Amino acid sequence: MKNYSITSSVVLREGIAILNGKEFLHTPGTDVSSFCKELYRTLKTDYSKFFKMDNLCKLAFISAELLLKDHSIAAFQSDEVALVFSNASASLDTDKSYYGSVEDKSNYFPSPAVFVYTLPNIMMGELCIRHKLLGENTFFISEKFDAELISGYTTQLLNSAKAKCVIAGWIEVGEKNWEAALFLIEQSDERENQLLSPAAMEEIFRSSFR
Amino acid sequence: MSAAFVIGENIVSPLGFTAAENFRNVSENITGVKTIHDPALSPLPFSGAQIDGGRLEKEFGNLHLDGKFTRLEKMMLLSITDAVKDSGIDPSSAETLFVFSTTKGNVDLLDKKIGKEFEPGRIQLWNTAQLVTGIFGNKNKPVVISNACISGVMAIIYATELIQQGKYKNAVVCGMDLLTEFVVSGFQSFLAISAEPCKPFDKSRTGISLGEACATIVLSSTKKINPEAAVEIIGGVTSNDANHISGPSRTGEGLVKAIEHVFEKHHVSSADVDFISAHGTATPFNDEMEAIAFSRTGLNKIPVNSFKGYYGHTLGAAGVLETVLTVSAMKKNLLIKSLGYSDHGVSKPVNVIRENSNSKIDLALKVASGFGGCNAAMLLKKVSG
Repeated sequence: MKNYSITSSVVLREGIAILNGKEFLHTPGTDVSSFCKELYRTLKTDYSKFFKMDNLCKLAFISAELLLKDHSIAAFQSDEVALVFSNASASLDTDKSYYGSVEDKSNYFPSPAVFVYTLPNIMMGELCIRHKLLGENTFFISEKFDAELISGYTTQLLNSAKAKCVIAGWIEVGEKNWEAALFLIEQSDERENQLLSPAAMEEIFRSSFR
Repeated sequence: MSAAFVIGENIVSPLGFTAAENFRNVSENITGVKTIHDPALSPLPFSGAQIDGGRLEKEFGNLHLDGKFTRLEKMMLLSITDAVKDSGIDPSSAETLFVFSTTKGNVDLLDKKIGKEFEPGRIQLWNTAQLVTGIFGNKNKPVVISNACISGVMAIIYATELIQQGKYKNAVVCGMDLLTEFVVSGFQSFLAISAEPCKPFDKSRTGISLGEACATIVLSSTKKINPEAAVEIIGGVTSNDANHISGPSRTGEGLVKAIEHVFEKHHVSSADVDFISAHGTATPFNDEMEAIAFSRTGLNKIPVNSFKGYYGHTLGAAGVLETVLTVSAMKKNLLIKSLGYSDHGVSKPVNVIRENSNSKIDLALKVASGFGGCNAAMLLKKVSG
C-alpha cells in the first residue's frame, strides 16, 4: 500500500485565508468578491481572465493560486494531475443572476458570458487552463463538506494510476456564506507531511473555525 | 476484483417511458425532436424534444405516491422505479448506492410561479438526490455528479469502480435534466441552437436540438440469470482540454487522451471496437473535434452514431440515456442510424451509420464532452448470459 500525503492545504472563509495551518490573509467583513481580489493583489497574481470569472470561479482560482504558491506541480505530466472538487450549491449564485436576465420579458437579455458560469465544473476548466492540466475532472455535489467522499475518490484515482497528483476540495458560494478548502495530494514518504485520510482532511477543514 | 454488469434500465423521454419503448422508437428511426413554439420557453421557435406533460402525470399517478413533487422528481421516480423493477434488486439495501448525474436539476423552480409551490431549498441538487433516495428507503448517502455534459458517463464510471472494488453490490445510476427557459435562453445566447432538428456530423449542421429526459441504469456485481447476453461496463476515464471553457479543443487533445487512456488501461485497441456512441451534438465545433479525435485514435472506420437526432441534447441525462441505448443495441446486435446525417460534414473520414444494420457488437465505446473542456470515454463489453 502506497502512502498518500496532503502536501499543501488552504482554507478560506470569513475573510481569512489559511495556508498550511498558518494565517496568510485576514480581512474581516469582506464579501467573497472583495476577498478574492484582495488575495489576488496580495499574491501579486497576473492573470487578466480572473476578472471575467464569476465569484465561484474566482474563489476556486485564487484558492488554487495560494495552494500552489510554495508548492509546484510542474514535476508532473499534464495528464497526471486530477481535480476532485465539490460543493453544496453548485452554481446557484450565478444561476440566479443569469435567470434575472431572462425572467423579465420586457428586459430579456441572456448573456453567454454569464451563462457559461452556470455550471459548477467550469471552475475546474479555468484551473486546467491556468495550470495546463489535462487529467481527470470530477465535480461532486454534497450537502456538506464530505471528507469521506473526497478522500475516498482521491485515493481511488491514485490507486488506479489514473492520477499521480490530485487537487481536491470544496468551493462553495452559498446565499449567506462562502468557503473554500483545497488539498494537494501526492505520493510521499516524507515524515513532515500529513497522511491522507478523511480525518486529516476534516481537521484541516475545521481548523479556521473560531 | 468484481465486474459491473448492467442489470436494469429505464428511459423516461419524449420517445417513451420504458427502455424497451424508447429502443423500439429509436430502432424505427422515430425522433422526438421538433420545432417548439412556446413563449414560456423562448421568444423564438427552436428545435427541441419535450416530454408530454399529460402522459407524465398519468404515468406518475400509477405510482400512487403521496406528496408533492416537481416535474423532474416525477421523471426520476418513474425512471428509477421501472429500472429497479427490471433489475430485481432491493433498492433499500445497504449494499445499494444511488448515484445521480445532472447539470441543472430542479432549475425550473427559479421561475417564481413554479418555485413558490415548493420550499426554497428544493432547488439544491443534493436535496433532490436525498429526497428521491429516501423514497426508495435507501439509507446510504447518495452521490451527485455535476460535471456538465459528461455527468452521465462520469456517474456510470464512478459507480462501476465502486462495484469493481467491492464497496457496493449494486448501484442505481440516474441521469436527469429538463428542457427549461433557463437552458434554452442560454444556448440561444451562444447561437448554438439549430432552427431545425439537429444534424450530427452533417455538412449543413448548425447547432444542437435541446431535449429532456431521465434515464436510469442499474449496475450489479451479479449477472441476471437470463439466457440473453449481458453487458458489462469495463471502465472509463475523464480528461480536460485545458483550452477553453465554452468550446472544445480544435485538436481534440482532451478526448484523444481520454480514449487513449481507456484503451491502454483495459488492453483494448481501436480495431476491437465494434460501435461508437459519439457525443455528436451537431454544433460545428463539437463534431469536428470528435472526428479529429476518432481519426487520431484510429477509430475512423468504426461505425459511429449520435443519438442526439432522436432526443436532442439532454445534458446531464445524455450519458446515461445513450448508454442505455448502447446496451440495447449491443444485445440486439443492431447498428442504429445516426439521424440527420446525409452529407459528410467534418474534415476527417468518420464511419457515420447511414441506415440501421445488423452487425455483431461485442465491444462499444461511449464518449462525451462538455463545457469546462471536459471529456469522458467509457468501454462496454458484451458477455454471455
